[in-house]
Amino acid sequence: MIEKSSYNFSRSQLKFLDLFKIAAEFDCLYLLDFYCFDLFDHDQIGKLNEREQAELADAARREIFEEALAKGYEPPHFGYAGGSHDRLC
Amino acid sequence: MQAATDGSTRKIQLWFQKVLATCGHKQSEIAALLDLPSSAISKIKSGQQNLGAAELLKLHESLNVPLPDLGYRGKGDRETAPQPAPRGIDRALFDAAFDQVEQTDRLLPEHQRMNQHEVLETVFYVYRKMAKEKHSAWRKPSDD
Repeated sequence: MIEKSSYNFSRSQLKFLDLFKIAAEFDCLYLLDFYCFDLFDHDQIGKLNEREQAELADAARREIFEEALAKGYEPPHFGYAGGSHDRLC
Repeated sequence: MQAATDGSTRKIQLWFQKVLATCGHKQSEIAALLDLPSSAISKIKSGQQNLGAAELLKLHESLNVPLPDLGYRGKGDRETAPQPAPRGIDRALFDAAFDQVEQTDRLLPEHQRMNQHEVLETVFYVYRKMAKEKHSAWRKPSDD
């Protein structure tokens, strides 16, 4: 069973949206475009279905995180023990 | 494992990845344009092979894509000045930290798995911890 949030996003959709937000924050959305092109031969991320989005998130997140760290990512102040995450949903 | 790259080489690699993702051409078409085997495209993408200046200019001219921004070039070019220098990261340590976090997350039941923000945070902490340990180990002989 797919877990749904109160906004009816599945876990995999949230996973993708969270990654999209991180990529936007660290100016590396092109990495999502790149992996989208690599996996599906186009860069129309909006046209991906849920399974494809999950596949894209799995493929792209290592490099997006690396870029975020290289660009000076700092965790939120109340981070590690469950504090102020700025969630999409 | 990717080849070690300096800052400019890495920027060119990322630029090349971006061009591939956005130019609307298949990799095989880009390979043909550059007169390279398809395998070279994959190697350039992954940093195992460098993109030569001739190929870079060919892409710029043929696809009408802007040249990569390799840094501040002069007084009249301020808008292309690099951002405050990003902290370099140790890619081997990053890979080790990422793999460790990913493997740990996979062991959790589905409903307890971390979201992307939590994974990023955890990778950050594990990476910092590993870097600190590596630094301590490196310093140890001179401390004795």
